[in-house]
Amino acid sequence: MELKKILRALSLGLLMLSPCAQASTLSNRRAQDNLMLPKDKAKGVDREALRQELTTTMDSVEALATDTKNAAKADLDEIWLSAKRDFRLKSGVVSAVRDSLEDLQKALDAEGQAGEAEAKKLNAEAAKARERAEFFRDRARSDLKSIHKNAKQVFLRDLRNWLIVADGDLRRALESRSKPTPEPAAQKKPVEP
Amino acid sequence: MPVKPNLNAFLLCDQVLRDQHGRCSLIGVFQHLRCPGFPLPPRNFSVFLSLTEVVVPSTLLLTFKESSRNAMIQEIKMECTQAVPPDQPYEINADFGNVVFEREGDYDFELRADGQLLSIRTLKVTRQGKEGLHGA
Repeated sequence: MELKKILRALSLGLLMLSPCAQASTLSNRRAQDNLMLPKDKAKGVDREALRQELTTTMDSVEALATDTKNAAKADLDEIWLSAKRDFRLKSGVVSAVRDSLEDLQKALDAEGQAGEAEAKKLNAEAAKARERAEFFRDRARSDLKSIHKNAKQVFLRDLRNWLIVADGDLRRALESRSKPTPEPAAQKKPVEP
Repeated sequence: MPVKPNLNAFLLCDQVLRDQHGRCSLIGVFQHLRCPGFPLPPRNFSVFLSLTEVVVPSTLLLTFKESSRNAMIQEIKMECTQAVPPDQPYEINADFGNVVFEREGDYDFELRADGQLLSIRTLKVTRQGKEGLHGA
């Protein structure tokens, strides 16, 4: 499981989805730079690298899908109940995250197109592309709503935190189930006095 | 800014049948195509739209494009001129004919009402046997 890659992309997603988070931490500054439009390319924007990162994250999400499928329902329920305000670890969570990431990718593409259109002074085209980007961002948010306990508070930061906890719990549960139960120790013969 | 219609349904299907009372039956609803090779043979399909609160007259524009290249494949313009009672939906089927999918990827159907974006429906076209773990 390449959890680091997931977290990396989700931190980028957080920047894209939550405008207030854009001014957040210094560690996210590189991600923020990556989200600039092509007109700022001279300042070092690497849109292709970001797209590649999102693609590899999708692969990681597929790996998470396998873990979720192999887990027993009791384990999933236990992990779900253990958190007070988190995402549901259930059938559908991986595809929801996948859909959300795909929408983020499309929003990124649309923003790129908007930037190109603006550079060519095609204002109508740029406005359409911006509208499309906004639509995809909204859909990325609503993709995650279905798997959140409290649908009114949907933050990708929660998803990121939840992934850390759930992945660890899930792996421990799988490992404990796959371990063979130790045979009872042979009874010692009582020593005759 | 004009009032946006409310979108009830936006579905892709093989065919839309209308009976004598104007009721619609959708045959073969899909959102994902899996095929052994590309390009696909020419294909016909329909897009079914159900809207309420449509202001008459207004113009609906359905653009079918290849998402990755942002290349437009086909565009259908629909003029809403006939008023319907407010409790009834405005149902439209847009028929696409002889569409050739040249490569795998996402294809978007973008619906606009008087220039305002209403929704985008994505059709995924993938090569057979290359599917992921959907529904996990």
